[in-house]
Amino acid sequence: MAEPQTQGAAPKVDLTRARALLFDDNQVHLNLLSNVLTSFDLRRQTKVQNFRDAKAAAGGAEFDLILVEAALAKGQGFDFIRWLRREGPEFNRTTSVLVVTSGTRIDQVAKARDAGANFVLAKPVTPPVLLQRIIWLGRDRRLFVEAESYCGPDRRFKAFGPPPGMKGRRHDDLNFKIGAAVEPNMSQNEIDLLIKPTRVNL
Amino acid sequence: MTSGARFFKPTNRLADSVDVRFGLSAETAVDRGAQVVLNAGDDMRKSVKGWVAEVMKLSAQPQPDLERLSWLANGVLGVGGAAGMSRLARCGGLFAHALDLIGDRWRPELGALYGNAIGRLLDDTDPVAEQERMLASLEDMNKRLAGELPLAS
Repeated sequence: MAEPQTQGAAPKVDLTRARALLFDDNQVHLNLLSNVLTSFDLRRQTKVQNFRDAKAAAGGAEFDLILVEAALAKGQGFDFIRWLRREGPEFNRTTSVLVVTSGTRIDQVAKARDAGANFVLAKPVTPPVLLQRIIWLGRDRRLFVEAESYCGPDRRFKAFGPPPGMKGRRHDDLNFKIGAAVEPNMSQNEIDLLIKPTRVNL
Repeated sequence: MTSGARFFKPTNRLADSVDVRFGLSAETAVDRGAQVVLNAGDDMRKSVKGWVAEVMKLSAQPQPDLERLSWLANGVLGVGGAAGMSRLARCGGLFAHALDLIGDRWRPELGALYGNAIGRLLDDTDPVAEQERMLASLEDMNKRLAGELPLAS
């Protein structure tokens, strides 16, 4: 599966028609995020500070981007993402979710990923990094997974095939059963000849 | 064994907003964002100062409200960092991490250390090298709390 592109000519964005839901219980930080998004022309925003209001907002409008603070009291941020992915309204269930966290410690990142977030953004949030992540999310082509234990974007960024001994679940997972050899192994010389450039007369 | 997992291609509504032909260049958007942060700097620094004062007060208590302390430390990290108070923000982040590590077992000596450090970093009168040393030592302390380094004897 192709990863989102991160290089190329300076990108342009048009976020004038996008709508964002911002969920953070720190009013000052919430305003900071909101003002930065407004400066990107993303003006259609709903700001909420608790789980109940976040659920109500997600049920009332279609969002293109959801920003959630990770360190909300009693794990409300992760609970909200899990709820959104499993029980949220159909029109928002696969919306891109960006988690803002106080650190990129593995446990925090893993929690966000396992809750169904698309990306984790470490504090302090700066305009270049926030924009970069929004662009990344816009280019994200990952499949969405709905399983008993997880709902969210495919957590496997690169396809290395199924774990050893497991049957793959992707349609393009390769079968690891290798047939028996039908010819003797090639000699080193034969292998070298396949790789070495050789002069030929045309 | 069947897993019952369903894979499907979701509609990425942000896709139409990025890599557009006519729109805001990333450079312009970032410049505008930086200006917004700059304009909000004074207000953010004022909030951070208030939070630091509360951190210092709570840290000196025998049984502080840990949830509130964690919220404050996280605020110092997020808002202080955005307002350019980078070392103070780093200290807020380390304190938030330390609070995560101790769970509900408050350690007054931890409060005293962080309360002192965060106050000194807000004053910003120590030489930078000294501030960096202090942060490095707090980082080591967190590693010890996490079991990544042996406990000091």
